[in-house]
Amino acid sequence: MATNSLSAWGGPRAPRRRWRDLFLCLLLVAVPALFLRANLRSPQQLNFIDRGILKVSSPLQSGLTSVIRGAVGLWEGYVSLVHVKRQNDLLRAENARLREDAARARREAAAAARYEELLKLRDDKGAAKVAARVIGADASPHFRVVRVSFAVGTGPSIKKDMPVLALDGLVGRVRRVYGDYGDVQLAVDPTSTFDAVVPRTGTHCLLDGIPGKNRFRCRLEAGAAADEVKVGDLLVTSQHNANMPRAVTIGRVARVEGSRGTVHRDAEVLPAVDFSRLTEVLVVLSLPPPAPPESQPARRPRAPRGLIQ
Amino acid sequence: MSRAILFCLVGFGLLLVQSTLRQLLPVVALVPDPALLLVLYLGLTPRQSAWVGAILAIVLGYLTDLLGAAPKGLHALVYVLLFYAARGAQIRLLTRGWIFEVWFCLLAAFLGGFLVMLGRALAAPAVGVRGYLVAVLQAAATAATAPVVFFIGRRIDRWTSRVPDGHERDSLKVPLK
Repeated sequence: MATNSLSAWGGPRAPRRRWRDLFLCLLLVAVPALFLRANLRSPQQLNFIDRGILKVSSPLQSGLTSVIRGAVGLWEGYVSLVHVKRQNDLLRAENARLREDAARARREAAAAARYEELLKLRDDKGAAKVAARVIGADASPHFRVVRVSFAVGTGPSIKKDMPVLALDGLVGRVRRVYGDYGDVQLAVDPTSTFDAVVPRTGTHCLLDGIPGKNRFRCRLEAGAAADEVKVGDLLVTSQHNANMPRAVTIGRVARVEGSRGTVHRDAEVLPAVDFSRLTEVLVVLSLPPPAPPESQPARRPRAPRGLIQ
Repeated sequence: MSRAILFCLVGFGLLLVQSTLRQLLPVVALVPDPALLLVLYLGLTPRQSAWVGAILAIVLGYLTDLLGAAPKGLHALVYVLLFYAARGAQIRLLTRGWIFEVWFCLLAAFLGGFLVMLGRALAAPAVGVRGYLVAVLQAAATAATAPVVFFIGRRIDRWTSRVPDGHERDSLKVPLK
């Protein structure tokens, strides 16, 4: 009994068993070797067992591929987002840079257009003009003045009270000049006064700045024409201003005070020029010679200069 | 018998994973050879009789040939040779510890890759130096995953180990005199 149990748990091996193991070993090596030798002649040939295994394995492999691809997609799309954040930051920075570039390009295009218009205005037949760049705004609301830098070498030719224009219309007059720099008193300064005309009705009025407001007060001449003035009417410079070109846009009527038929009617005028955004202006050096009377159209108001009509 | 079938099924599943990874991973050489690791485990474990282990190695090699589109019998032959090599190492050497397993698997995997390249040369032109580089990389990847596959093998052995019932325990008892 005891002997049987010991032999079952690996007792001393008999030589016959060794030979048997060696034989099995050689056989199990020879089988695949012969199998390989037979299959080397036609490696693509599949028997029914091969086909069965491949038929079973193919859908399993396909499903496994889908699962692994799904897991990889899940990982890359929802979990491993470190590189996405870095990429996001880079793209955000690039976006900001491109936005800045685009804004700069827009600003430059607008400036180029403005310069082009200024050139057109400067080369307008009749008046000689000099360009100037606004370098400082008014420091006090009580003195509506901007500081300008004239084109190099043109300072000496610029005198006090010369009119200053912008693309949109009248800016003011030169108040003082020092070298190639100067101060321009804005038209809305309370101490500046202009004679204006409403081209639609031919009504004349005297304009002066309203203290503390970016507007003009317009005292309309008494008469039937004054009654016709209404909100939205355009005002331009008249021929009664000394050293001032005619028909330069000043602004539009924003409010009319007083009832019709009264001796005095006042109106508030909104300037055509946005003084807070002035960048370039033109100083009118000299006025054109007066046109011969026959060449002037009778009773026909001249078209105002400036972009706002 | 159920243990052998379970090893075959696990080997088949690992082969499917291997072939799928080969399609998905950019570097094919870095995909380990899990079937070879199972064969080495069968060779190194003392619970396995030699001829059953050799047959399992042949079956796993045959499946590898089939799924890897290799000449049928190539991996079967290489695996059975490596199984006997592992069995010899198990008898002659102290085969304990994961460090020995990893080193032995590295050596066996490289030897297996070399043998596969030799067998491949019988049917196709030789692969050259690049083939040896691939064999080294795959051997390294295989050795790196050896602890995982050996862990799976041990789990299978634990699941399939038969606990002797009361009658068998009585028959094993040696009468004391």
